[in-house]
Amino acid sequence: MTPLPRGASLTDVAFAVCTALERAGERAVLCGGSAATYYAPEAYQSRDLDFVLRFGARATTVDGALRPLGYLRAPEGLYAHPDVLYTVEFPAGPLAIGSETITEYATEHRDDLVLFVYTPNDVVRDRFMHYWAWGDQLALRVALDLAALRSADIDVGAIHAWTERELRDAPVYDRLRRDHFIEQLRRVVR
Amino acid sequence: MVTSRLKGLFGSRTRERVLKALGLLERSYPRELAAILDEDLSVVQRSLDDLERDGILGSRLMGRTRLFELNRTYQHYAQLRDLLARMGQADPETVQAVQHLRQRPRRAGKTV
Repeated sequence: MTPLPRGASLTDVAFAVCTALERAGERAVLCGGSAATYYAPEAYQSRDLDFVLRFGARATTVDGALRPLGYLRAPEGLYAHPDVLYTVEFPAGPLAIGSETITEYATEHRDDLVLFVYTPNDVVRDRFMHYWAWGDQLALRVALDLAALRSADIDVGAIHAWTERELRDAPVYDRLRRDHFIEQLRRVVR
Repeated sequence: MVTSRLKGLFGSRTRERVLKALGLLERSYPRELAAILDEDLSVVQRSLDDLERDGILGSRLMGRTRLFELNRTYQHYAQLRDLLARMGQADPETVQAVQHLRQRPRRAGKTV
């Protein structure tokens, strides 16, 4: 693969990194705020891409896959490119939202490149989870904005059922905060 | 024997002690944990950074202090929180150190 050009977008980086890793035998799934930017850049602009490696990977394998793109591992563990704004990180897996393991995700294609990414519905759940757990208001806004922009992909009933499971299995989250979110979600998803 | 088993579970003795202390305190900062555990600050800091990178801990800035706590979005947060609270309570040394630090005389009017 060729080095990413100066000014590459988050989507350019996402496809290039995911494809490079896939060709190196490592399945990586884009998640977190960067997945929100992928679906709705008008709602949120992330500066770092979070990929979870589905089966784990050696750092040397990741280094070797990303080096041809121009990404090098920085001392703090993230990958940076001298001419591209976006950094790439690999948070510890497994892919999970709350206590639920994520086994299905979207597969996107662009020319001969591939990107594995959370579905819009899971991005909404993931952003809400950050609000639910930490009170992160920005994450709540991103969840609702993305839901409004991709409402055809959002299943409010499924999200509500998932929050019920979380409240039952891990009763550490605030029910009122959940109710507030679901009420707003129903308003924006039509 | 127990310690060696826990070292196997959490990766190192310091990580285990840091987690147990956080299980009792809920949240803390590096200097406080170093005092409680009577460990070198840099060793505690490294363990906290490792645990945060592994997604077990989360941190946020309160003024100039970085407060650490269990990562509430961690897949097994509720179970780990319960386990660590039990482990902390079962370790009289850690319980005593936490109680001592949190009950020390404080300047009148100083926020907790």
